[in-house]
Amino acid sequence: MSDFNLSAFSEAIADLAATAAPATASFVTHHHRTASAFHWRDGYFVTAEEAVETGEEIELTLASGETVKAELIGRDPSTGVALLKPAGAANAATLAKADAVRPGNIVIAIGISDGSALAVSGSVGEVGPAWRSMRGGTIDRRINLAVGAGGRFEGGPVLDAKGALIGMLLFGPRRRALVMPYETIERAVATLREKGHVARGYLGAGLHQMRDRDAHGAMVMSLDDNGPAKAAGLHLGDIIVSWNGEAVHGPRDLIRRLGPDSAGATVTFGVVRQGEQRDIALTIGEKPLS
Amino acid sequence: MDAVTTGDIMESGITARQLIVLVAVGDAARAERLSASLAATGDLLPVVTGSGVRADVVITDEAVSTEAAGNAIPATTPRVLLSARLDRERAVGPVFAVLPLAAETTLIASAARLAAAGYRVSSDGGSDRHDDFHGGDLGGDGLFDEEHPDDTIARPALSPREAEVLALLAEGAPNKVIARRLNISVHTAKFHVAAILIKLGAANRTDAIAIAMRQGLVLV
Repeated sequence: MSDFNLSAFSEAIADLAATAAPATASFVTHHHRTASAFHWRDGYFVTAEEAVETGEEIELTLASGETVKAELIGRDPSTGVALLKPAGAANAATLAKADAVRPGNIVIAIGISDGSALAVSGSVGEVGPAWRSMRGGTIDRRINLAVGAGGRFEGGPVLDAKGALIGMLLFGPRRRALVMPYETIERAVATLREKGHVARGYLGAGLHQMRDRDAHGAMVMSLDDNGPAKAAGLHLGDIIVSWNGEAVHGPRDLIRRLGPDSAGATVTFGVVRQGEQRDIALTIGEKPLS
Repeated sequence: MDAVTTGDIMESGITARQLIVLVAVGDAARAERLSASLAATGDLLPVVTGSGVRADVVITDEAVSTEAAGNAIPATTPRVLLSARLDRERAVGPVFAVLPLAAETTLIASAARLAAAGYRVSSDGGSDRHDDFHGGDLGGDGLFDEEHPDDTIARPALSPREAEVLALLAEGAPNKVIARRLNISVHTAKFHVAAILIKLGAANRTDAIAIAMRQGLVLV
């Protein structure tokens, strides 16, 4: 490490942040705080779905300082991605896709706020396999960060040591920063650009957590007369305990399985009715996820 | 429990055989009205005390269960108790569900079916429990589920109007659309949305919908 130059390292980090800054934008959320967004491509910006309120007008402040009205093209609660289309700004900078990251790699999260450039550096804390979000989204990789990024960085880009885009910064439980990976955003953006929403699987049943004696599952408390659950012969009071042989612990578990890719699938539910278990095959319906 | 989901809670004919429901309610006029409504469901057969029929389930209230009439009912028959108190402790013994005195008939019928099938329905008073929906940490578990709030604890009492607003929220409707569909002002729609978020302990709309789905307030 004799040739290591701390000052040069510091400058390199600052340069990467400055180079990527033109792709960033910011807006004020309905909670009157600042969140970040960044240019994806073709004039479309992405941000954190949680920061955007449906039906509210969004004013994006671009890196140039210019403020433009942006249309909410759609939101995907299953991946946390919202897609914005500002009027103009089509020629904003675009960030290149990063290669795979490993734990310990340096990361830089950037944003802007009130005309100030923001940057914070840290490292990748954890890289894990694909996982499924609460609303059924498939997230390509688990990437947790060890960075001290505050709320203004939410929805902003996370860069690697080459200045390439790893993904979007979001906050998990206990405000731990994590990255929604590039590939996941790419899929969400494609769907939102095409349809304006993502789909979710639909049963047409109101569910209640069942945790009584040995029974864990989701009890059917109400039924849509025209829904798939009713068509398949589910009854009020039935307890759904499994999905294609895998245990279902309750509504939370079931909802997670009813993600965008579940629509149209035929699933065999294990159902407890009056103490007896039976199998019921059901073709999952489709609704917009909101 | 709150009958806010939709009007269709109990419109499916479930059983091949009618369930015999013993209506043992202190107020005779109420008993009569309740019996008439239960009979109208088709799959429930209400009977009154002293008819000698062995009931599948008993609907009773505090006025009756403590009196001699209550003792005539077999101790093992599942009971749905209409109570003014709505105690927080879980119902014990043959009481399989406790509902408010003023519960809607559809809800009572629903509880009776579940109780007859051997299920216990836990319930709470709702409106006085704002503070413990999610252990104080307001919502925000959108994508992640490392920290499970207990989905069984609270089912907030939404007003009928709030329930309508929630149904539209679940369809992804913005305030403007909610206002138009319900013929109210955008300001009023916003007000209802804000009230729903508070009652559900939700950080935002997406979070509210997710919570409502988990609690049976929105169809999954």
